Amino acid sequence: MIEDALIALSQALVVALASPLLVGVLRTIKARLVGRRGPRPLQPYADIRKLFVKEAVISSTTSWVFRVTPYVLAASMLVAALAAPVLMSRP
Amino acid sequence: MAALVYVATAVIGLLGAVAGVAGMLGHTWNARVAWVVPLGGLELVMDPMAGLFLALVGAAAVPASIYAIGYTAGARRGLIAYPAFVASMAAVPLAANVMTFAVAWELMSLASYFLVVDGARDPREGRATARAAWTYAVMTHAGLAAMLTGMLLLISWTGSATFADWRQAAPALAPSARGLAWLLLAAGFAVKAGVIPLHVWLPLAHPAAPSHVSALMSGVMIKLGIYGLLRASFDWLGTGPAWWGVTLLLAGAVSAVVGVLDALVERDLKRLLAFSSIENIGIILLGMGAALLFAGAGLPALAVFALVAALYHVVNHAAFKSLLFLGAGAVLHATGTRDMEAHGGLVKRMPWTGACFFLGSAAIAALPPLNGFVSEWLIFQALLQNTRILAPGLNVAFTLGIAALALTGGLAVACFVKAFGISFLAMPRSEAAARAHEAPPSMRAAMVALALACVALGLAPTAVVPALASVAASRLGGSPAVAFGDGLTLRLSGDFASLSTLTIALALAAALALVALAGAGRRRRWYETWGCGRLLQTSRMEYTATAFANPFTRIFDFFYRPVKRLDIDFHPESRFFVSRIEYGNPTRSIFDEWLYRPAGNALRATARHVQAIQSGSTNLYLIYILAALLVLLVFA
Repeated sequence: MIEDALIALSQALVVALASPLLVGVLRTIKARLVGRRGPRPLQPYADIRKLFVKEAVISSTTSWVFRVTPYVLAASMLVAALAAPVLMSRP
Repeated sequence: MAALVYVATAVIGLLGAVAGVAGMLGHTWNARVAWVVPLGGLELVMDPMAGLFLALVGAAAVPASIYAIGYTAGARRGLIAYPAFVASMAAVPLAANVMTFAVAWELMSLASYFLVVDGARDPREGRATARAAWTYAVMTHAGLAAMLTGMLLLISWTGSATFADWRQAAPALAPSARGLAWLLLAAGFAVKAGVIPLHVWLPLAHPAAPSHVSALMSGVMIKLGIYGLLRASFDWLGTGPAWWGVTLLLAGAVSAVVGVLDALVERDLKRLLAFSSIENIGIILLGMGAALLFAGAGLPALAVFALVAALYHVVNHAAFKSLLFLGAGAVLHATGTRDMEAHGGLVKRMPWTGACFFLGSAAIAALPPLNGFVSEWLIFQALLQNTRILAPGLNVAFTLGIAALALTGGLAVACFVKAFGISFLAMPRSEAAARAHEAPPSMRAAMVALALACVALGLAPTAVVPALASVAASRLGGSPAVAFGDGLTLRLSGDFASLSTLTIALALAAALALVALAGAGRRRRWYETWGCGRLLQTSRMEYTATAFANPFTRIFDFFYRPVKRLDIDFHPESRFFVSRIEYGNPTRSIFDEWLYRPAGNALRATARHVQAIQSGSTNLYLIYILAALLVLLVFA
């Protein structure tokens, strides 16, 4: 039970921490394939850091749905990562 | 006066719900009053299956009646038909002989017919409403005819009009006789349930009725069609052979996919919900068909499990579809139109309705941890167990069902993103929407109660499933041998699958808190949307319902068969000046064009031929009488 929970949590952690790296590596490889140098693989981390400190502009025609959705999206991805077999599949 | 009637109906509903739950838990009884109904008398029997559906009728009637107090605002129309409708729906599952059943069934159809006729709010709507009510009357009586034929056949074969006697005598009947009776009964009940292709009345009649009646019709009345199918397939005739199950499974697959496809392109909010009811009936039929096939293959535990999944979806659909119809009614009440292209921005003007409709949409789109997810997950698990049946033909049918359910799930999400997004988000698309007002307290209370029911049914499947399992086991004979969970988790057939919506909900809450913490402390600014340099922003720049559905119209054009209509009026002086452009992109219904129109034409042609012997001349009719008399004298 506790072991299962630990596996699930570590999966979510890996997904949260490593997925920008995957995107970065993919972009680098794509760039190399078409002969560009492309950004370095760690670039998405820098992007995320920048986006986190930027000011959010919220349109005045939007409602609570607009404000809540990004959080719900991120949270549901994390919860999905708890269950999906990322690191290992449980019996 | 009006409020009193609705409160009384709500009390009746509450009593019905309590009696129904007691019946589900095993407090069975029967009652017989010989003189009330002719030919056999009034005969009521409470068993677990009847209890479940009685509880459903009662539990849905309470919020609908409370809602009606605010919605009708004291109008006196429908004050007799509405309580009669609720009472007759409560009587249908209890009926124990043919006459009681037929009277209750017909009273339910007639009361709802009057409520549909009554639904028009102004003369402009009158014509459409009259057509809807007429279609409803024709279809429902065609169904009644099929159902009664089946029942009369069974009476003549078994020599009894009591359902309990059928149960005894049915296994001894010839397979072809049982099959014919089942086919007739199933056709009759399928009309009421709105199974495709017998569904044409449903998208016309449900939107035309007042919203609290629509909620009951979609939430409960069509479920009584399912109830009839359950009785016909599992009870009255014994458990049926494989072809019954395959028929139900395929009908379910077609209904689910076609229903959601039709819902997706609809711009009338209540019609969209009506089509979505057809979809959900299809999902329920998938579970029922699977249960029949498992029972036929000698797997009673799996049959119970599949039937539980279907019954769970019956309960869930009653909760969220009632909620959505009440929400749509609140929108109609506030804006005066059902056309989604004239809504928009309502979540700001109507925060309660908006929140409730949002929750209902999420539930019907089967998002965890709400109730729609639980039942669709259960039906998926049931269908996936088909590998235990060793018959390739049946496995193919199951696979089709699984594919249909998967496609339906995806399209339902798109459909309800559209329903909520276009109606409630962005800027108001019309004056009426800009001046919309929140619903009165009684309507809000009803919607909040149903929303809470959706959440509770989603979070506590471990409380609901055992009760439904005892209902299913009471009909299928098998004990619920599948392990139905311990505490928080629902475990199915050993280690095959398990689900705990409560854990999902807690994990979601924790993750939300974490993400919100990460995003806390950001600077925020409210500003108008950037309009690409344009100064003025109007609602005409918004995404429309038609535009949202357009990609689907193109992908599934073999089904929708869209027509392009472009109508341009040029200025009389020059072709370079356009004075008016009209563009339409309507879709066509396969069932209208290929089934009902030819059938209607054939009927009309036959009527014309029959007309020849009905000249209207009295002399001719006198000759007919003489001829008939002579024929009788000669042959008798």
